[in-house]
Amino acid sequence: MTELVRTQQGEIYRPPAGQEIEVGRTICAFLDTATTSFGRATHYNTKQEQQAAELKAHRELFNLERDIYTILLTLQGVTDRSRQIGMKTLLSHSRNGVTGILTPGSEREVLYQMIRSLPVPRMLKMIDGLRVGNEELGLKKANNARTRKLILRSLLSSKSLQLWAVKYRSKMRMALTHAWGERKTGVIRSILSKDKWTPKEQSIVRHNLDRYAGDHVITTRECAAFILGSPCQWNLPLFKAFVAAKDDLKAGAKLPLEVLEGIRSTYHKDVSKEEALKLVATTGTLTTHQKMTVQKRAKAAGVEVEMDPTKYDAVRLYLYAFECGLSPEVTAALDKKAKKAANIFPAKYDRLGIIVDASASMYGDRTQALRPMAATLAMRDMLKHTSKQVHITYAGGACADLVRPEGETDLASGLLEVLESMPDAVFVLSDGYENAPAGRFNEVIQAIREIGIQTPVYHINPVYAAEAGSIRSLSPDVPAMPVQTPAAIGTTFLRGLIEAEPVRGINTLLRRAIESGPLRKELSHAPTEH
Amino acid sequence: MPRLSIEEILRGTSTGRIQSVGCMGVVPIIQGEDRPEDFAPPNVEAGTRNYGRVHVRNPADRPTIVPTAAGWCVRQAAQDHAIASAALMKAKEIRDIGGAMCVQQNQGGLIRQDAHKFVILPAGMRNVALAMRHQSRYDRLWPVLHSFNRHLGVSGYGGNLVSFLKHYQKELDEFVAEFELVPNQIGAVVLVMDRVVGVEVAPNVAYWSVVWEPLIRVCYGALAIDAARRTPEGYAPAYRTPLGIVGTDLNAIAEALNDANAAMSRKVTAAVDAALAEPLLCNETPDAQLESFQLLTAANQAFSGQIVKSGEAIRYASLCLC
Repeated sequence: MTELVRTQQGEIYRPPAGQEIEVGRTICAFLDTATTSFGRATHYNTKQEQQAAELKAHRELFNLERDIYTILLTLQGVTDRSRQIGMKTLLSHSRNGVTGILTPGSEREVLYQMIRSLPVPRMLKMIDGLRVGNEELGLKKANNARTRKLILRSLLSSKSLQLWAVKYRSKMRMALTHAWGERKTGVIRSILSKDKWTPKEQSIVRHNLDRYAGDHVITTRECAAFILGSPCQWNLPLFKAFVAAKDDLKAGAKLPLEVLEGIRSTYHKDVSKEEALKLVATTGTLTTHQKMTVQKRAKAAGVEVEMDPTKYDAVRLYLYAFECGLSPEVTAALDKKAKKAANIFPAKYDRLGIIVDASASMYGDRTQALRPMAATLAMRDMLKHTSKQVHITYAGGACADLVRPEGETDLASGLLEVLESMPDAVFVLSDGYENAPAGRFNEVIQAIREIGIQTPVYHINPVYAAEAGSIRSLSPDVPAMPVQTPAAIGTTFLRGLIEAEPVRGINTLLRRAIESGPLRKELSHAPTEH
Repeated sequence: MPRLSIEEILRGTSTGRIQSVGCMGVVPIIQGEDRPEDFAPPNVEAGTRNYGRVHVRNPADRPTIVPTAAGWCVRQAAQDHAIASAALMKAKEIRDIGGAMCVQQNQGGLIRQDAHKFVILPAGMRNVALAMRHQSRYDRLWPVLHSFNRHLGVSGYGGNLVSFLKHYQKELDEFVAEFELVPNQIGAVVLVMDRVVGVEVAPNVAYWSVVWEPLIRVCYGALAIDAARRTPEGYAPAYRTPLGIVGTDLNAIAEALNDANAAMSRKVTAAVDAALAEPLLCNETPDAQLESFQLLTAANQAFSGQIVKSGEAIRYASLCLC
């Protein structure tokens, strides 16, 4: 077990004297991008602008303190996209065995856990991305021994290797080739196609494959052979099905849908797509994600695909509802999730005011259409359950069961409306772009403070704004917090604390990351907060 | 010469609440009743086969209007082009639009035919381009673009629209992106500081949703950038009414907010009425005709632009400050 290095005064980290505020600012900028940015275009910014801004935030925190950067990557609510960037940054810069807040072993463990936590396509995309560098953006290639071991351990020790081999064959081949190198991959491929191995060949297989395979040596070897295209006699069921389906599509019923569709479109052109869907639907091999995405298609094909709405996060359920409608089952699942998220929210209220920005810009960019609105509605639901009484008002939006974004952004009137109910706090859920007119919200905030109303007002923003270098704020007097999902709200609440008390805020945030992430095993070695 | 009033252009529409950010204000024009969808949105494919001609394809199964002063600035080793006049296109029609202008002096090459996003030329140069719409020299806009860039502090020599777009990319995104479409919107009256600088009316909601961004971002955004450069920081248009709070409770603030909004609305209406009082004169011979639709150029002392009319109905109007 690795040990977390402690510092004086019970703190995990103390910024250099006089630089506390600057360090706090760098961490806040990182949190803004890490919890909201997907590196995609938004309603306002292009993909390139978003990516340049997020890389800058990553680079600045990494240069400031590598270990703080590493720990914060494990926080709840950090997007997969940010973790991908973080892993690449860490892997492409050698640690040189230095022990700081973390030891080299702790960092290795964090990297391993982070890569394993990514959905497989994202994990493979990240591995593929390690081959690419971009000087302009400050991205370096990563192909050192540490990286190679991490790739091989993550892929070859997985219990799902057989499924991954069938489903992501070419990407897996690319990943293994990146780790082994072209020449060694060719050698391993050739060895695996032989019936008998020389002692040297056995040694090569042991060193490059078996030592990562744990108790699944035989399975792992066969999977590697399949991935690399070695001609073999297949024993594993999915590989057998893969071969058999080329003659008889029904024999491939256990294969993942996309694999079976690929075989159908190549070897069985006379069979319809719907037939492939029916086959897979009956064997129950559809993934949770697919059960949601094929709903429309399945309905059109008259195939029933059961989907359990409780298995999806609230944002995804709202996106699904925008496409397929808000059924009673989805509504019930959303409510259940909102209650659960409210339970871990750090505050409870008697009366709460919520202003929902449902103006046209909340539609987002077409590459992630309606995501800001979906995140906002999920947040609204969660906040509703943190209070006994709630007053909700909408700025813009077509109000039906499911609020769709449209119209202008008038948040000032909404603020006055909710304040009438004398709430304990007001939450404004908005992308921060106001136009009716711009600045009116801030004027009203100043006015209510002047007449002595001190009700806390918080701005929760689900959209990263490249041009602002963080999230867009509505008023200098209203803390703006970046939040993508209700579960992440606790993390961003600490952002406010960092701004007010940098040292305490940073350490609380670090502790939260450690407690809830892969470093929690080391927590027992860390000092407690005084 | 036939005369045309702004009332005629705006007949059957109403105006929405002004949206205001920095120097720019936008008053949405909203359709009174659903307009016919006889014109498709201008999602045309464009390219160049030689300098001074834009090859355009309308993929829709309905006619469309390629907007006045549309331009194609592409990320290719190709010379960006723009057209001075609007063009009426039949359903599925493919044709060359002659009299096009190069807007990238320092770059050679032809634009590959594709569904490129289009821009609309900055409002400040549209009237010059329109006045030269019957000329054929492809380089005729270079001096205009060159002085436009110099005026706005864009470095480099030559008539390159892309230099402006790159130089002010952040401002264009930041400054104009806050404006949002409202339901049933088919047009807008655009104000920069306190002046009406443009009146835009589209044939229908779908068409407007496509031309909206190019108009607000480059065409009128350029004017807003110019205005912002010339005014001290914190200076706001006169119609932007601050809250005048009398009292010390929430009701007083709510009242002040209502009053400020009403005052803004009154001031904007007055500014729009004053600016649009003078009728426009239209040319007698249409610039183009498609079935019953006529493309006409119209102007008065303050505004110039083009309209598309069918009988008495104005289906499209794009007028900006001369």
